[in-house]
Amino acid sequence: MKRSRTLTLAIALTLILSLVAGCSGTKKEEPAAGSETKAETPAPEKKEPVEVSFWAYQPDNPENQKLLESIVDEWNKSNPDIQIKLAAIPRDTWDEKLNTAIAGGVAPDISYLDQPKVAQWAKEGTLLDITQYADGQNGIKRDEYIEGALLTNEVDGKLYGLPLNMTTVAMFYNKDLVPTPPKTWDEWLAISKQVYKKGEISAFEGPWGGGWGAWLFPAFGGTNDCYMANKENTEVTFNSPQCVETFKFIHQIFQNNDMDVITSNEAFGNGKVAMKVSGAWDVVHYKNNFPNLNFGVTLIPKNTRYASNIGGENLVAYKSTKNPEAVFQVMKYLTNDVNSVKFADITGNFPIRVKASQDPKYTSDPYLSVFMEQLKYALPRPRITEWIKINDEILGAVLDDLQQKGMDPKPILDEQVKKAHALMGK
Amino acid sequence: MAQPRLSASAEVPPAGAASVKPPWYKNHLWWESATGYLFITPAILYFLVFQLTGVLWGFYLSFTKYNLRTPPVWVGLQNYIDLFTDRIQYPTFYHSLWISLKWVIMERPGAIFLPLFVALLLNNEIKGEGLFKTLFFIPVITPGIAMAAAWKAILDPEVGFLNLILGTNISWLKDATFALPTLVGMEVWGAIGGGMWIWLSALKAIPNEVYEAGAIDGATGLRSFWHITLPLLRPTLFYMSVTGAIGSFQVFMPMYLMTGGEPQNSTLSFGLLLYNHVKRYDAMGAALAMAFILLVIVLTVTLLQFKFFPQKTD
Amino acid sequence: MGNTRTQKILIYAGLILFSAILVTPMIWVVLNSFKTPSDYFTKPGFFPIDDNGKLYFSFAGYKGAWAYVKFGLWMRNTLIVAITNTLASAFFNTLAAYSFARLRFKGKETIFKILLVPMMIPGAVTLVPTFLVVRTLGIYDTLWALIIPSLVWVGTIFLFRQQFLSLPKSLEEAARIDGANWFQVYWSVGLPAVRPMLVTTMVFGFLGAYNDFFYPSIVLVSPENATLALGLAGLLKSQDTRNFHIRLAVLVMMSLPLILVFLPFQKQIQRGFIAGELK
Repeated sequence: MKRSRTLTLAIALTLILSLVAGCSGTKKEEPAAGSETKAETPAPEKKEPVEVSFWAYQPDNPENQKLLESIVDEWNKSNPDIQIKLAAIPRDTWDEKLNTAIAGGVAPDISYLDQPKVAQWAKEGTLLDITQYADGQNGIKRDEYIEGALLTNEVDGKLYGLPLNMTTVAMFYNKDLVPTPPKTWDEWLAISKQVYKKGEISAFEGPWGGGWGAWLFPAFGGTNDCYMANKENTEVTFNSPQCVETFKFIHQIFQNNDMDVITSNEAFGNGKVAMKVSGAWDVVHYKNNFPNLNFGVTLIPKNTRYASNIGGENLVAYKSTKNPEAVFQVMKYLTNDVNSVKFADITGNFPIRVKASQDPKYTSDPYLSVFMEQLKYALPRPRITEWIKINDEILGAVLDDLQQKGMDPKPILDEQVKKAHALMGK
Repeated sequence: MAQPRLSASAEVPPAGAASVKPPWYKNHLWWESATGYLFITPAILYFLVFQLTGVLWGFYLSFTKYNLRTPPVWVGLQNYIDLFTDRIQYPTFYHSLWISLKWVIMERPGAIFLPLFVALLLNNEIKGEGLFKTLFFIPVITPGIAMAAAWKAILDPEVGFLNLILGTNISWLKDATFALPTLVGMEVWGAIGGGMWIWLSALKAIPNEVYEAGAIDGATGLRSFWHITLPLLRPTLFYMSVTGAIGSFQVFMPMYLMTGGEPQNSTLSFGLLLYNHVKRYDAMGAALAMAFILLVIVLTVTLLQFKFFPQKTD
Repeated sequence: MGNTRTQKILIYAGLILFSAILVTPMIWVVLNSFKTPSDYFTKPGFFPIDDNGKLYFSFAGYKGAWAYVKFGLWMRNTLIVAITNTLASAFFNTLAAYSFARLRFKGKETIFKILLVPMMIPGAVTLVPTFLVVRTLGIYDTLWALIIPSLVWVGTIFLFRQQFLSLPKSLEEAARIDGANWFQVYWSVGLPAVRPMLVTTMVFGFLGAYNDFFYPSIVLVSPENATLALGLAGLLKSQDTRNFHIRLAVLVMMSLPLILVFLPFQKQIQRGFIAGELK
């Protein structure tokens, strides 16, 4: 009967495939298990190579993927006793994957780590304290690293990682609409009013409400000495008079926007928006995809001082690693002058070594040099444990009311600061 | 395992028969029962290994503060209490429940009945039926990311196709009034392909004899649909209603991909809030407490459906 | 069921309208995959039109995609998982469903309802326990980690239970009288009767396994084990927009095999349906 024959075939196919899957599966199980199987390493005389598992963000194009692999291959070739095993993990599921791996005892030896997380992860004991290795015989020279970047790895006087890259946001402007970019708030507001054409041209593509907007806001606040928290990171201060002033100012700028123009896809690229705040990734985006766009980059206009955000990734080691010395040598290699430039390229950010940042590649490029300058004034995020929640749900929740609708900032911000403190008090 | 031959007589001894009970290996009911259990063994195994452990472990963790990297800290009922009462730690708890409820009410009717309508159209000896079915299926096989890119272009306030047809310039995804309905529209749109297939398969499983018998009794056209087709579709409707409700209450993908809960939390569904607590706030314990609260809600809705839907079992 | 001429016209009109609505976004994706990246951003219409207003088709995206993507390896892994899952789970699920629908045993209804419960828990939180089970079973970072947890799915059991319930019992009773055991009734009578739904489910199951990204990204690490969706993830979600044309080309290339696999099943259903009628 034809029917039962096809079904029998199907079952046979299933069995065959399971066998194939089984073969391909078990073959890979051993190496991927990583360092925890090294417990059975034989006696010291027979030197088996130490394996250092390294989790990196999956690069988003093949050239960068090859570059990342070449960094690892170069080390592996000249260091037969320490072998790096690279795993490129998609950014999208990075957090879940890393967390579950740590929970399940299969954490890598080293990995990228989003800068603001270092403090929390160090305090809770997840990260390896590398101070002794850094200051030891085969250690690093601290002044070879850009100070601010290195400091993001320091918690309670101890070092928990090495910086991998850093990034910031700056002001993009359309040169045809804005021949002279604004340097101060007053100039910024004047140009916004001048440039605005109802239904056609909007002045400034700024941050919306929610987490993203709240992450961007401190870049503007900083230009008016409005800070998110006090120096000791014990109090939240975004209701200060300077912050109130900043919100009022942003609302005034937003008066020169139309909703439909500003939310249209690629509005800035298509010449409908005069100014926008964004990061270095957009330089590449606009240069490549919008040949008719004549744009420039400048520092975010200041009221009292220049300022911006700082972000980036650090390279950290996990306490669960079995070979801290080998691991540290790898970390040193990955963050040397040559590789810091390569990682900057791979991640689209900027290098964290002093020598590398002085490279003409950055200093003579009309766009990148502005970002390097802006980095000098960049402010780190508050090192408060609950900050992300405060960012998303307390500050982010009121941004639209203050920036778009122009409601009175003082009472609203006072209320939100109270909530933030109550949250921190828990 | 040799099966006893069935005799022409009934499987079960008629009621009131002499109490000569056949030995167990000849008792048909015993075999039926054993076979029943055997057939569901893989499902039970799966349930025990993958799901029960997960549920129990998750339940335990909902009484702790846990960020996955460090050992869980017991806090008893605190997570649950805080979710219901602490408006500072969880300011959007009730709001997100409301958004999810709005979602279910808006999305479910469309997602269930629109595909039925299309399936009914197709169930008519159409020329090119295969072609139509393939076309309808295309949104189902297109990866979500591709659709997201296409929708962004179609919904663009200035040059988007939708605004072009309607002659408006509404910012569909950034306007608090329109964001959630827009996501619902996208979701229903995506559900047509899949739902249509399920309805069509169910319609085709109805043998023609049933309709012919009905026609003899005078039931044709609309009456045939109402009295013959619909009741036979009821089991399928029940399935779509129950599983659909379970899925809809948990919804988080559309808002995660397109709006992130914005604008102004108008698309912050309960599922998205839960996800944020896992991913962004490192608050696994709270997230699990939310999951179990959701479980109670969905369980209640499901049990109600079981109660009020007439079940055709033997 | 004869239809009048006007009815037929309305039906076709409706079908064409729905087809248009459902297919338009995909057409948009396909057409845009032929644009150069800058045209994609600056000329957001449907068709790739160059600066002189002429229609063109750029294959740069496809060439780039072919060079970039390790299609061979990823496709092989994906197919192994998808095909195994589809066939094995179809078997286990329908078997259980038949039992719940037709066989009598104590506690049947209660067991069924209990099985439904885990479906009501959002995936985000069952992720960690599943991961730990996978770890404990020793299948972490193998393709088994994708296969074993998908062998049973309660939603499908539910679906087929409903299907089996709606079948008239006559055929099954006849088979039983003829001496068939329950497995034979399930296999030779029950399954063929629900063939349309079976094919549908298998197609959907295949799709799910094919496109699944989130779960594989958690349980797989080694590049040799990557599936298609996993391998392409970095490209598809990247911030770098220079390769946008490759991205769209990749998406089209991912979907194409599915359409090609799908078309033959059209005829299968119709043939199977007719055969079922004759039996």
